[in-house]
Amino acid sequence: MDGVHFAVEAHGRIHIGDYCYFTNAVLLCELELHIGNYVVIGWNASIADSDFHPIAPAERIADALACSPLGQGRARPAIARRPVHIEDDVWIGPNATILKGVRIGAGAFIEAGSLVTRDVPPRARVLGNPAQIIGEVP
Amino acid sequence: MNPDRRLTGDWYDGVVPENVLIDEQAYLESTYSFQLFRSRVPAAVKVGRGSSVYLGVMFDLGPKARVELGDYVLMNGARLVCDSEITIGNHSLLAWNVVLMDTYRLPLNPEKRRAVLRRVPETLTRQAAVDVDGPARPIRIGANVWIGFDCCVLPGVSIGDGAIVGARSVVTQNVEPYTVVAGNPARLIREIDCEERSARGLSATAER
Repeated sequence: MDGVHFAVEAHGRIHIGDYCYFTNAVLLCELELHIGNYVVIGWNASIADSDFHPIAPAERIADALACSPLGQGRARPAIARRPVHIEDDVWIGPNATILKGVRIGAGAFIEAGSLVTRDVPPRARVLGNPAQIIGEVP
Repeated sequence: MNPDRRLTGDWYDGVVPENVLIDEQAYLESTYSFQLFRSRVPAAVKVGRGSSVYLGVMFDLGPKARVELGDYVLMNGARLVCDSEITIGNHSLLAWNVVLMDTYRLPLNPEKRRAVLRRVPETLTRQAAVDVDGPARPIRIGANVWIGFDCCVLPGVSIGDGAIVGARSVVTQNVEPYTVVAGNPARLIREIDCEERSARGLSATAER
């Protein structure tokens, strides 16, 4: 763990397995990030299990008020959160982004700069925004 | 360069490594840029006349890596992950959070990667553990190239003179000279026409 940024909310839980190697990863957690064994995360890659704010404009105004210094403990509206699962032996390149609800299968290879919005099958190699399968790992 | 190889006003308590050659008329903001520097080859890094290397640039160089920056190159936060060779031509501009990687550092095969990762806790310097002799493919950035922020340039890619790479692009293939590419993966957007080219050439000559 080198320069890793943990942004974990009150009810967030992060599990990191054995022999992982992270360089300046950004882990944003409000629910659950489950990271298996032998996972490598490159510089400035982000993983988030939440949208952090509501999508609907009116709810977003309510959220802005609740988050403000004048919010006085007002309850925040519901926010979409889904756990992220990174299985064993996954490689995540620098500047990549993994969004909420994604499961990355064992041995998958996420190329640098990819934006992953959907599940990735085991041992797939993905690239792009949104990430597409471009091959398999050897 | 001062005899003690320190920089005046540097916030980081480090020195410029012996095998790093910075032109007297180039600017290096902080020795922190060499925190991950492990190259042992002579003249591992060369920074040309009038070039600037600002805070946030990281020379993450393996034991055999070599990096050469031409003249009037501007870098303000690029990360160079290099095990073979990265060259950047004159007057090129690299924005913040750009990643130039000529290597994936670790084996692509998950089973082989496990063996390397198991060694990490036993090694004193973390980087030394991942300095495996993997296949690295040099990156060549031509002259007068402009790379936007958050871009990644993958192993083996060459970018031709005068090209522009849009922000947040991921460059997986070679880029022709005097073209604009953008996207993830990066695609050709348009070519830069002759008038624009010569206007660029003139301003570059005037500067010299």
